[in-house]
Amino acid sequence: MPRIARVQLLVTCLVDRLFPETGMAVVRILEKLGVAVDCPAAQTCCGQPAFNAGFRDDARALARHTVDVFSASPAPVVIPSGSCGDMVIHQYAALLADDPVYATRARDLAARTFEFTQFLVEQLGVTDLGRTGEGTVAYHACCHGLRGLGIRDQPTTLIDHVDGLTRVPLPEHDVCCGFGGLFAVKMSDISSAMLARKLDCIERCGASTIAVTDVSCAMHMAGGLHRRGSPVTVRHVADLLDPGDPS
Amino acid sequence: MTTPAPQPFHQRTEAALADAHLNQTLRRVTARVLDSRTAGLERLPASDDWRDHARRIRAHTLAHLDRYLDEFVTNVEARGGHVHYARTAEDAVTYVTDLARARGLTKAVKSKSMISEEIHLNDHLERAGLQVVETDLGEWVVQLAQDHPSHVIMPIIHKSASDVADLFRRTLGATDEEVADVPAMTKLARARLRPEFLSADLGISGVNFGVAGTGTLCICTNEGNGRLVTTLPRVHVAMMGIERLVPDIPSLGTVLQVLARSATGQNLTVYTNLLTGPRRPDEFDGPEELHVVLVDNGRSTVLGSTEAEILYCIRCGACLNVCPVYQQIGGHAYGSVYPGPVGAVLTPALWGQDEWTDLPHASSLCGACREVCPVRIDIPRMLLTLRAKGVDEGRAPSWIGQGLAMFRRVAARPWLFGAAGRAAAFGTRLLASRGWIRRLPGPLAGWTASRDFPVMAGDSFQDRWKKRQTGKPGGPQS
Amino acid sequence: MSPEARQQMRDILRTALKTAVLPGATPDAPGGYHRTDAEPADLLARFTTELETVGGAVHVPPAIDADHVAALIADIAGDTASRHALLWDDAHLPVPGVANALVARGFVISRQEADAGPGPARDALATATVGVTGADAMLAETGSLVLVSGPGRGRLASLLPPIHVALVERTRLVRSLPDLLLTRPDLAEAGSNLICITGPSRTADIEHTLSRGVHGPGEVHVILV
Repeated sequence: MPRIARVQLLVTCLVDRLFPETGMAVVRILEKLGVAVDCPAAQTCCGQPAFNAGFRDDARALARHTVDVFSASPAPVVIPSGSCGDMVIHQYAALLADDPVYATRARDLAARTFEFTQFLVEQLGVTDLGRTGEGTVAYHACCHGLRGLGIRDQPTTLIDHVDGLTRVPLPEHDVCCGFGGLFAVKMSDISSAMLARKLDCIERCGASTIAVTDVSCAMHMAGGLHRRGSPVTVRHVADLLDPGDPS
Repeated sequence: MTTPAPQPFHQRTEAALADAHLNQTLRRVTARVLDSRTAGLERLPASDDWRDHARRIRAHTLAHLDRYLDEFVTNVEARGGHVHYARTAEDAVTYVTDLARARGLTKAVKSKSMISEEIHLNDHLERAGLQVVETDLGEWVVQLAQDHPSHVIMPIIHKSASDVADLFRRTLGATDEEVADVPAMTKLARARLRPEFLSADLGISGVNFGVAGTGTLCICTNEGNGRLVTTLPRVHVAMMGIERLVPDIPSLGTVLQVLARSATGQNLTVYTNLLTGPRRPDEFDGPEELHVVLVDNGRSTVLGSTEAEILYCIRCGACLNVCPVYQQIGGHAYGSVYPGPVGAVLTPALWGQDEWTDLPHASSLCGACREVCPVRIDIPRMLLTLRAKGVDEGRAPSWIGQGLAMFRRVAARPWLFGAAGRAAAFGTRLLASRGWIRRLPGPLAGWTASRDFPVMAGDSFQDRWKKRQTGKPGGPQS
Repeated sequence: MSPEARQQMRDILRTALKTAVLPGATPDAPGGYHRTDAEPADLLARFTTELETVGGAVHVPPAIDADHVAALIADIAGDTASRHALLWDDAHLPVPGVANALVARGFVISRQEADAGPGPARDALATATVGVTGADAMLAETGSLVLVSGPGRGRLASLLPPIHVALVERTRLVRSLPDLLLTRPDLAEAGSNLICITGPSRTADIEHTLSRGVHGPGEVHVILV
């Protein structure tokens, strides 16, 4: 496998503002594997919220901005999110198809953009990070990563190599948690019913932690669990692979 | 033409979500059907290749629909059948009622046909003085209950066995013994409906596939009512969407290989019925007259749009069964004869977003529908194109439009994005107690109806990153 | 359809096709799928398993003549008071003389003639308890029977009675419906009706609970001859 010495991190706005620790974990993991990380300061949002709501002009403007920011360097781009990853890898091409300048650049960016767990397993060939942990984990497959990018056993392979972590199956692990971006707000009652079903499965499975590859779904499920008073936490896979220094 | 939704979408979903009985029935039945589907496809070697090929057949047919429809008309007529192209629902029902009047027909038996639901054929025939009897068990229940189907292949998925037993007792005067269990109710249906088949003079069916090269109609049923309806009455009227064609008989074999497996998990439906023209002069049975009504009713508009791919659909219903939204709200909440993911695209694509503006938004875009579709229709893609059309037509709520426009202006300027993020983080801390927000303001309150919202971090990842890089040898100096 | 109506239909579709977005569409007709997986070694075993799975049965008479076949049919019909069979014409059954052999066993025989609609003739057919037909093909992969309608081979014999018995030669085994339609597309138009029957009539409309014999035959038997 060709050695990848340097990547650019598209950290995503949710990680940036809500889960900065996850971003730091991603950086630590990559650096320990000998991959230097750049994090372009001009990055903002990939445009997915606008795209999913049907506001294509707004989405296009943010897509162009993102393409610009990550085209300054030819280095691969790593995204700790299947959802934003799917946006850059699959939707940019369609969104910018008629743009004479950006169509090619968007395709180029898509070809060198990877979701974090896929990058580790498929690009770096790493499955065992030599870490230890504790507790019982269940994996929820986030929709866009699963069906958009084909993230299936990359995260669980990585988790299963963490010494001391016990993984238990999550019933209906590939059924949507009901997040869906603005769907959770606009169709709140349907979204809440889907979430309730998901939380029932979570509480039944016996895990103390639910592992995901998207912090948006983590925020959704964790918010529901907190409302229920449940002690179960939801964490990005990176947080489980590198919980950070105890200090 | 279609029935306007009786209530706003939100009210319909609210009622459905509050119905625990409906919820349990839906969950139980969809899970059972999905397991059958998985098993059905696993029994077929290289099922993915069959699906890919079925998709090619459907895509090719639609791309040459002018040619194939023309060929189909020629071949149906060559076998002695009649074809009518109905541009609108009114046109379609007028043709059938006029035909019934001209031939003096009095009693129609019907097998399942979504398209006759779409154009409200029964109402019109009854108004024209005909007796109309639905003969598919599920559709018969729907007719007796004066209800609507809530699934494209399982019309009464919303009813439990005890619901049906109650209905039979109430409307048919059935005894407890006659409704003791599902086999008993099945027997009752056979006994009550057989005389109707034998005495009807008009048979009305839907069509699963028309074959352009031979003028053949393919009708798939399990109960056998589809055969009776197309064999006993002297006039057979087949109601068919203009998109339901395949080029030739070998192509028909391919699409049939994936249809039943995706729908119910069966290898084939019990009866795969191929009809080529009416009864031939030397044959003993079959209708004397065959009429095929090609219903457009918006389909040519869909064909000319970015949603044309939805016309590849072969009506297996798998996308309904797998959809976590459908599983929660059932078919009626969609308000359309075509519910679920396929209906959320097809309904507004056919009849516009005046009535149906909410349907493309009734999805979390999880993509499960695309994954199970036997012809791999990219439903999420078209939910998104419809949402974009809704925005272009000015249908989006203003708070979303204004919010996203402001978000775009901010996010296009990294320094502003950082500042706004800090402001938002500050805002969340004001609303929160112990790290979580229990009530978000304004339109965001939907979120906190059932879940808390986390407080944003005081120092963002970008803040920490900058700090870290500054401390690093060779890092940027700030 | 009038030439004007046809022209209108073509025009509407051609206009639509100018702006249609149809991913995956090819200019050439794809035709039927040509499978590459190996054919099951024993088609008859597969046919039997599949038919039994859907609730049908396969029988092999001890000898292939009218009397043994009739004995089997009588067995299948049971000791019902009403032994009433609706048969295809003798010329279209693979074993000659079955009707007479059934009469010898106490069966009333109905012969179908041109159906003239509602009335006593039709009602008489509708009381038959067993329908006896041949078949043009047996499909191994699905346990199905394929029957093409024609003179002397009406649709009703496999449709009205609660029991359907098909007499079929083993040589009629074909792998599957797609295979049959790929190699013998002409069969589809040989009569006004080609019916592919896969087991007894069933419904699962109520709670996806299986129940047999709702409108078509509740029993399907194949006698191999």
